[in-house]
Amino acid sequence: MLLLAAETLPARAQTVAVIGSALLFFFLLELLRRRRLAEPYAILWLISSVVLLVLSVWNDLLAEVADGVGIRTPANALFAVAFGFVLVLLLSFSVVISRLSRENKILAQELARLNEAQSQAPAQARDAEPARQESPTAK
Amino acid sequence: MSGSRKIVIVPAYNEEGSVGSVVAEIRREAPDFDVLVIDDGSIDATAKRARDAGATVLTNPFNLGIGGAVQSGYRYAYMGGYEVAIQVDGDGQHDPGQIEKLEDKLRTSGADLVWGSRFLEHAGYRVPRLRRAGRVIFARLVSAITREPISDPTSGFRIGNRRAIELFARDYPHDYPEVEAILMAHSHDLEISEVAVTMRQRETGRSSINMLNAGYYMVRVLLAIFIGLFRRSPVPPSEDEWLATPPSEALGSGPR
Repeated sequence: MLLLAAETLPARAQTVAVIGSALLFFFLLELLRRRRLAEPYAILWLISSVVLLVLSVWNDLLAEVADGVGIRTPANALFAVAFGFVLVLLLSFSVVISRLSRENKILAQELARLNEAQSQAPAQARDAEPARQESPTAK
Repeated sequence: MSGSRKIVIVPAYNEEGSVGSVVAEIRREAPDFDVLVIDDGSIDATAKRARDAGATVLTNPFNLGIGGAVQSGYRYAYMGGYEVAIQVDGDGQHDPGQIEKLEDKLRTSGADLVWGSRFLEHAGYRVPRLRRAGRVIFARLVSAITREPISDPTSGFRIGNRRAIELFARDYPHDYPEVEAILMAHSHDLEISEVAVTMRQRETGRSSINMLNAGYYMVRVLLAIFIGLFRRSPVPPSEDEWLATPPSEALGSGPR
């Protein structure tokens, strides 16, 4: 009897886990809807929240996962899964930040190059000015 | 070249093998169009081949992805005051000889956005089974949402008028944009329409969608469609500063 009790999530913990992961899920959808979060970055978050939600609703599955990886209490297994997702999310941020800083560097370099090219040719720029006014695209 | 009100937008990423002939063919088949190639951070001679063939070339300093590249083209078209813009892929699968078909359809149907469908008539375009399944799912979904019979929402061979240009210059989906762009147009009350075209098998290079990421593609587009259903206005209103500026002032001179 005691052993059986240890194999499922306590009712209160389950309630909290379900509400928490459901809130996360709907918050993500709302962020997406308002365009505060872009889809490529939302995918991992959505997977995390859905897996956590499923595991906290479906207690037998959580118990099996716990058993499978050799964790005695399901609550700890839920923590371990959540922690795993946090690690993956953090790593993905590092990857994205690396890409952004590389692109940012290239933008700065290109801007510097264009600034120089611009300042080298002020005369041409002034010559081009009258032609601009007569541009056929000006409405 | 300047003075034309019509432009062809050619997104190209590492397409040195085909972009030159694509540009040459566009200039031959549709001489009243300006040709703009968006070299999306290619590491080969795409930009040079395109320029040599007589196109204006925008080179992105790094790869932005197909959505970002195409939007560069629409922004250019918007700023340049173009009235009509056509998208033709740089890989040669879209036949410039059929630009006229799209143009006719745009004119006669009164639609704002028209694209060439491979499946309206049996045009002999063979598609791998997996992709056909995806295509059918998207076609049904888009048809249901827009209440129009749509057969090929993933086609990138499309033409838009000034309204479409303005919408896409302001906002364009990122990675897999075709389906989402249609739904965006629809939710902004733009009229959409299809016309039957034949497409060629790819000349060189490879499709941006291979078997490995086909599943991811499905998930991403389905998610985008799903989220889009719950947006009242899928695009922020046109308060963006650069759009508040008249095109003539924002760009200064016209193209070229």
